[in-house]
Amino acid sequence: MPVTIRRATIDDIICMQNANLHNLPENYMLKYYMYHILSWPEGSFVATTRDVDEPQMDQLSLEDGKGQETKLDPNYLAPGEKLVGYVLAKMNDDPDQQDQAPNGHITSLSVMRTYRRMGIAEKLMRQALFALREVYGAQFVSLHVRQSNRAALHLYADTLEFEVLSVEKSYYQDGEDAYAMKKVLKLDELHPKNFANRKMAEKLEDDFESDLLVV
Amino acid sequence: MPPRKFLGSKNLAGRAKEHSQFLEALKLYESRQYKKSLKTLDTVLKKDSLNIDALALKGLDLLSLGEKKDAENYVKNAISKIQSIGASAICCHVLGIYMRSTQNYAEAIKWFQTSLDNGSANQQIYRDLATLQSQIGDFKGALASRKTYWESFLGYRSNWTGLAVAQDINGEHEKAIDTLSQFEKLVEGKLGEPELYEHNECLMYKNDIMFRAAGDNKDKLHNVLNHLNEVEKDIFDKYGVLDRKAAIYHKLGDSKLASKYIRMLIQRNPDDFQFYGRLEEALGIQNDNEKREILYGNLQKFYPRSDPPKFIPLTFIDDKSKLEAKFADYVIAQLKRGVPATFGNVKPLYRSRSEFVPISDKVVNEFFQQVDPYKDPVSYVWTCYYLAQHYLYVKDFSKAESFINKAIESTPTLVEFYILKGRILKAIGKLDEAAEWLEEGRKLDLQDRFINTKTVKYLLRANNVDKAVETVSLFTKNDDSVNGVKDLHLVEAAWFIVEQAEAYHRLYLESNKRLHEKLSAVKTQGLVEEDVESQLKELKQLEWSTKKYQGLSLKRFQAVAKMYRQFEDDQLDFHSYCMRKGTPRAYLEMLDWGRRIYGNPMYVRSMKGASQILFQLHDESAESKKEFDETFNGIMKENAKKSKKVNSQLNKHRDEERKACVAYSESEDKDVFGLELISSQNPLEVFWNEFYKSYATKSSEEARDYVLEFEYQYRTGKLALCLAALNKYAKYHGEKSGLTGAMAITLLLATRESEPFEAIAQKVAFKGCESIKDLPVAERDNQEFDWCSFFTEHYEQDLPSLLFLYKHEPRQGETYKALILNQISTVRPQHQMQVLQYQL
Ligand SMILES: CC(C)(COP(=O)(O)OP(=O)(O)OC[C@H]1O[C@@H](n2cnc3c(N)ncnc32)[C@H](O)[C@@H]1OP(=O)(O)O)[C@@H](O)C(=O)NCCC(=O)NCCS
Repeated sequence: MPVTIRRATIDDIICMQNANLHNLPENYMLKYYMYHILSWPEGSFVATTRDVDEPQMDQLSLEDGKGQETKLDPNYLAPGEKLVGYVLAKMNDDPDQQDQAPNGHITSLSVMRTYRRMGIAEKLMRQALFALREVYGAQFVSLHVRQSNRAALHLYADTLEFEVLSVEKSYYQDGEDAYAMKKVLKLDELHPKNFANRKMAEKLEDDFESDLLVV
Repeated sequence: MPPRKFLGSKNLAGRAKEHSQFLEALKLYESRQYKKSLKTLDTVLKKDSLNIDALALKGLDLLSLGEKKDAENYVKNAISKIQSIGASAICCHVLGIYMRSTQNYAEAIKWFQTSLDNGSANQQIYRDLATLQSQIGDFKGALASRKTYWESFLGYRSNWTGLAVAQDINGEHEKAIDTLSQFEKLVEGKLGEPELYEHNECLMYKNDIMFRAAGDNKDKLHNVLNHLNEVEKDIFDKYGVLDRKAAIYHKLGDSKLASKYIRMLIQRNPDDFQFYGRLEEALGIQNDNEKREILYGNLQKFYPRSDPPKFIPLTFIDDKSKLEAKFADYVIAQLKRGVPATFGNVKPLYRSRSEFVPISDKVVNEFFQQVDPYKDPVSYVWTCYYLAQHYLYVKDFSKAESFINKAIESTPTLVEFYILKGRILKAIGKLDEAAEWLEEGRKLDLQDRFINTKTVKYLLRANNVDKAVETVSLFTKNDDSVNGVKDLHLVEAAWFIVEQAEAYHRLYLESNKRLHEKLSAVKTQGLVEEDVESQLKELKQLEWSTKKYQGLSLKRFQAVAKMYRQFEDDQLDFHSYCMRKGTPRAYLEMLDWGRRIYGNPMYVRSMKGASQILFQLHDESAESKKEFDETFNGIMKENAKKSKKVNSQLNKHRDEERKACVAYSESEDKDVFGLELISSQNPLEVFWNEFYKSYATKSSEEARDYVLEFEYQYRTGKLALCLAALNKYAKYHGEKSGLTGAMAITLLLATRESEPFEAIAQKVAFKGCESIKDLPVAERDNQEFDWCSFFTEHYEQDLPSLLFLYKHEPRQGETYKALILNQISTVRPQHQMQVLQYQL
């Protein structure tokens, strides 16, 4: 199937780490992913694709790695299911900053290149921001982004309406500067239903009561 | 047993002084001043070399300073003395800590327990015990430890949570619920802001246990629901609440409320396919395609930006023209927007409903006809891109290539096109050219690590290891290394390590083949007079490369195995962390994950790769090895002087080669090329210890690779276990599956008297064979019987089973080979070549 967005679980972390290694130069050991998932289990999300049906046994072939076994490829989570994007999020638990209001941090976000530009990162981020606010009471969320990263800057600044707080000189290993960005989180604004339609004018909301089986 | 303290010391006064010095050393250890601690211990030991406490602590100090070998000696010494004199509680505690630090968890548990038995009043030991017992899966022991610890420290939520979790794991659901409830009462009205999150998790956890315990019992389900409604206001995980309600109402058969809650879930996340299936089920319309169509039509209006309502109808609509129209809507909208993944989105449909192949062909080609490449370049190039993938899928390689060429011509700046061009070339077996195209793509976007990664993968597929390492190192931290290989090990980049291991293995096979060809040429024709030196050099070089590539390949596979052992071990801290953090639900998921961790794809791939090498090392007969060595060394001896010169020439590069292959720091690992690994006297034992033992116990049973199990047990000579593997395989893959047949035949023939297996094992296996349907056991000793024909008549022929028989039944090797050649004529050239080059 095309892409599903869902909450990340510990079963996803090996593939999340793999996607991170494919897409970004800032990498972490698996234990750091465990730490995220086991501290803030509702905060991170993944994008996966899945085959329509469980593949049939008689289709077993060398070529597609079909069959009941999971394809022996680093992107695969389960038979026919592969991970194509993730957002790894946490609450700020820096003991030196406990005087601040509860706030979240986006540790890492990436989408496999062949699945970019179809709104996956936006959807992952919207789910994560909503969860950070709703479950963990985050009043705001912050992140860092490379100054040269046009795609990510557009996503954060324009699509998600983060503001630039400051420039952190030589934030990255290779010496590049980072923008420190921040967004204030308001629960009613963050509900994903607000973004189900491109234009507000088209907005048609489910009332959960109407009969969906009549035209 | 009464506590035996301070036995074995000399006199009372001296003992007291030494003991206080020991305690001082212990304090120094605890404040991480290991060197000072050692010094103090040395003064104790000078006076009393039998002071076991001091010996043990010295071991721990040395370990903390990285002196593993020395540490082990001291600890061994201490333990050997304990057997006769006994040990103090502190000493046992120290030894427990040492064992834990060296990952000897079962031993650590033993020492901690003895420390308690010997009178330790240190209650913290129970917490450490619980952690270790959980790590090794002794949940009964963990329950006892958690309980004792909880009794000593009732004032902490984490101890209540820990107890409840332990009770839950041991199936004591009522008790677990009770524990959680008791704590809730204790803190009622007293919770501060920071505790609210863990409180919410524990409430939801209690509901989890209730829900699991309720099964399908309606009364119990009502209870679960009532509880949920009661606590809902305190739960932050609203998504979890809705999910649970939907599940309960569904089980209660209340389709109206079940569907209501699923609709609320969909509104929170309309991009999760799972919810839609559940909605259909709640509404009871899975088999009513008309109603389903209406449902998705309505949902599409609410969620125009989400894929599922648009996509799912494509999986069930039967009417051909309607299907075509829906497909066109779906695909063409994406092509117009230039969505790179359009083909990826519909590819699952190709697989599940083959009628989509011609539909897609028609729809997209028609669209392509009317796109103007100048007015609408976006649609044009992405449609070309789509069609190239379509033709690649149907194996029309020349059309695939011509479409991707069009795309590149029109927009030469899009990296995606170069990746696809490479993929097509790879499919037709032009691996070098494929890598070159990826390199072109990479140069277009040097900042993007994804294209870097892909390029490296293609270079490795083309066995171009040097260039691959050079390229991958552009994104790694190479502080203390000539390249990124070490860093990639540090950050656990399994994808790279496995690809490199496989490249090394192919290089090994090639080098080995050339070595043997060259050697037999020299053997029959002798060395050409005027060119002796360069020929010796070639031989030596080949011999070295062969060894080096084989060693490195195994070394890399082993690195992945090590990584997974680390992952398993990484759980250790979380047994108590999660209780403090208040995340019992996530914790239970971790335990479940830990039980299956070695079934992960990259672990399995590494293990299979390693099995090829280690099984081959095992299979190689001592004679053929000896013969090779004799010939090779003979030639070198005959030309001793020249060969020495050649040697020193080649050795000059050794250090550089070594630097390029370093994966761990020098102190951690000296066997850079893996030469020690491959020269093990017992390759099967290496396989068991390094790879298979973990897999055999910690992977899910249904997904386990029973062919590998068969291959392994066949070599250990345990035919009864081969039989078990065969039966398991047949259970999950069918009695007619090719590999079922291949293993059955191999097993039956292994029971012939002439075969080198134990008679009892053969007897058991033969008995088992008798109950395999259709297997003509009576023909076992008939030399004329045509097993190959029997196989093809009774089982589904496929490549893996034919290769299996080809390797195990050399008597009919040529016949199987012919069948294999026939079989691969329909697969992609890439796979044909793999089989021809590396398997036959
Ligand atoms: C940054 C990244 C996550 C975006 O993922 P994505 O799924 O393609 O993003 P989306 O499709 O959701 O796009 C979100 C917005 O960004 C825009 N955008 C995406 N890629 C863009 C690009 N290359 N240039 C300009 N804008 C871009 C989209 O048009 C969209 O804008 P809109 O809301 O105005 O329509 C992805 O490019 C990536 O993984 N890059 C490598 C890793 C990385 O840089 N991560 C971020 C580290 S902070």
